[in-house]
Amino acid sequence: MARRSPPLKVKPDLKINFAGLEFANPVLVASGTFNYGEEMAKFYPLSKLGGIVTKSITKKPRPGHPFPRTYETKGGMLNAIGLANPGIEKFLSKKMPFLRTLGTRLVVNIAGSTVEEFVELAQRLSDVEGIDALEVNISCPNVKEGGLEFSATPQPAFRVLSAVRKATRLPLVAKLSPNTADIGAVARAAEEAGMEGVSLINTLVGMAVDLKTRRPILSNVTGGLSGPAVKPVALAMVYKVARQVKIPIMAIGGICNAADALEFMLGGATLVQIGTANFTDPLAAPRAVEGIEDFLKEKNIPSVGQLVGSLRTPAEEIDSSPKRPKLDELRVQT
Amino acid sequence: MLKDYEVAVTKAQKLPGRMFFLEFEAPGLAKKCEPGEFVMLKVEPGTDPFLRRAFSVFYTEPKRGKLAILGKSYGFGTTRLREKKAGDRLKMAGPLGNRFGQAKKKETALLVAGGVGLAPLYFYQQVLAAERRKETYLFLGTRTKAEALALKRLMPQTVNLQIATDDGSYGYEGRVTDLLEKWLEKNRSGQVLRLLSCGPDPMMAKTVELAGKFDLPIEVSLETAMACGWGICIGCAVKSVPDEKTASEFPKTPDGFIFQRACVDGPVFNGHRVVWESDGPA
Ligand SMILES: Cc1cc2nc3c(=O)[nH]c(=O)nc-3n(C[C@H](O)[C@H](O)[C@H](O)COP(=O)(O)OP(=O)(O)OC[C@H]3O[C@@H](n4cnc5c(N)ncnc54)[C@H](O)[C@@H]3O)c2cc1C
Ligand SMILES: Cc1cc2nc3c(=O)[nH]c(=O)nc-3n(C[C@H](O)[C@H](O)[C@H](O)COP(=O)(O)O)c2cc1C
Ligand code: FES
Repeated sequence: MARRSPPLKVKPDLKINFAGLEFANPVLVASGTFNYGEEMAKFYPLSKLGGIVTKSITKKPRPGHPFPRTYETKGGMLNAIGLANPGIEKFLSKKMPFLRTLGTRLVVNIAGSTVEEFVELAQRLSDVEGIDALEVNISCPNVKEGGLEFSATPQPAFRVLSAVRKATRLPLVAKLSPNTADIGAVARAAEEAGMEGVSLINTLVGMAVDLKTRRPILSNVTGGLSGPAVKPVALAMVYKVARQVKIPIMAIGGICNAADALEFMLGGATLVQIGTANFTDPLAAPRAVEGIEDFLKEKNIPSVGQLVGSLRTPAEEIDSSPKRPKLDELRVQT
Repeated sequence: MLKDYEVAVTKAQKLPGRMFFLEFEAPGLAKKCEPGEFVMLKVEPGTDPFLRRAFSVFYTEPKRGKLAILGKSYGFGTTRLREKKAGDRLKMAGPLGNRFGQAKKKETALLVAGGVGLAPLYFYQQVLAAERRKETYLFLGTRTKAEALALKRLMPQTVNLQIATDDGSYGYEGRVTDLLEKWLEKNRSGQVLRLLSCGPDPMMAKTVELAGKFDLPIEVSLETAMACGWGICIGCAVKSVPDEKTASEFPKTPDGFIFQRACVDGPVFNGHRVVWESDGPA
């Protein structure tokens, strides 16, 4: 009979390496669900987090879509904010000074409507002090241009990501859309384009109708679905991508607590991002950090990194090596 | 600092017209909340419903550690909330949002409430009455006599209360804004007046129109649908006419307006600047 090892006496190590950067713990907060940190710093010291991903920044400021922009659905919500943000210049002058003081990793999320805009944003942020990495949002479902067409298929993703790659030395993470036939292929394109990592998933395109008025509820007609409702979809996609690329993964999608986070880590994620849960429980993210530590103690696991990809799966699946595209295959079509 | 408190229901009362009253043991919030501010309530743990619901503070009793809200059930969350019983525990984050402006010297505040929109205005009246001895008039519109009496019973301390019912079964017959207009026609001259309003959008829009007609300042407390309540989702967009003082992180819309966040830039706004949209907040 296997003997249970006694609970750990030493503090388990929550530190984890992602693309050469050390994170104090694997829990980040997702773009668009934390604004630029100022509001949440009123609830708890943000240094408790592994990192922050900012609301998407665009070249020009954007007012966003008209009201209504959000709608509650079963186990989640729809949003069509329309990338409302102050634009890169105000971000640098008004938001960065605060973000620099937080003592946690800072990932700045950028969104462009053209390849050139993505490149300009990456260049502009390249030498800004205090930014640890960029998350390249090629997957916003709520804008006319620059949203899904970049991430629905591998070729456009490769084109924009390799251009961004040349524009900056900062570590880059491509944020992928679930609204695609083959997220594995897009992830491989991101890897070929030189991304240090991928993050997934952005929201799933969804819609709600008001029977009384016979109108769509959101001003934008469709929106992005997020929250616990999307977690199984996200988990399957993270699991799939983890077996098709070598670069590390940040998992996003319905993560509300330590158990959710740990499930994604078993499935192959190195880091996790907590999104919509920040709206329903302001302390969701720091609690997840504590919960992960408790889990490690209880299971006598000295370091959180050991969990990554440790899911026990049927043998034949482990053996199957996915087909990787050759670089030429991608280039031909760009 | 903001905090997410665990609070316990101490009094629960169902009121006519799908309204309800809840008082909580919430000592931390009772000490901190000011008139105009709101709280976000997690109606049930878990995902059903998932998002929180926003409620203005109706009154606090800091010494007894009590905080009360006044609600009306529409959808799933508020229907569940109306079923709460004394002893039930739930999460309440706050205090959130901004406050009503301070009263000026020699100023009389006219409080114009529609239904449960009464909550923040009664709180304002109580704090103002207690602290500053300013004169206030409270105009309350309800649909029926039963609703009017139920609300009246919950505010034994109120002063200068005038009630309008839609069906004329109690007080003035008609809309509260008609009652207000009559009052203003009689009493406008020679007084320093200020309007504060909370209720259904059409009622507030009409009150703003009267404020314009009688050249009075007005603050409105909006109930824009919210996902988070603390500024991070950017969902609660309120369209308004920009001025030099109005802070917005966001650029103008193509039609020249700005969006502000109801939860952190509001819920109290200068009524004259709000753009009322027909299919805006319910
Ligand atoms: C600052 C503020 C203060 C408020 N104060 C009070 C109060 O004192 N008393 C009171 O009865 N009501 C108040 N409301 C309105 C109350 O929050 C809504 O009636 C409630 O959220 C509706 O929930 P539901 O479960 O009935 O609706 P559902 O239709 O099930 O809700 C779906 C989603 O839409 C949101 N939503 C729907 N209608 C509204 C609305 N009119 N306002 C805001 N969010 C909405 C919900 O929060 C939820 O996220 C206030 C709202 C705000 C923003
Ligand atoms: C209100 C809202 C706004 C969002 N804004 C952005 C954004 O600006 N950029 C982005 O890359 N993702 C954005 N997202 C997507 C989230 O970062 C995340 O990928 C998605 O919500 C799934 O995670 P969740 O279920 O934990 O929320 C937004 C999500 C929500 C709910
Ligand atoms: S409700 Fe989320 S920003 Fe106002």
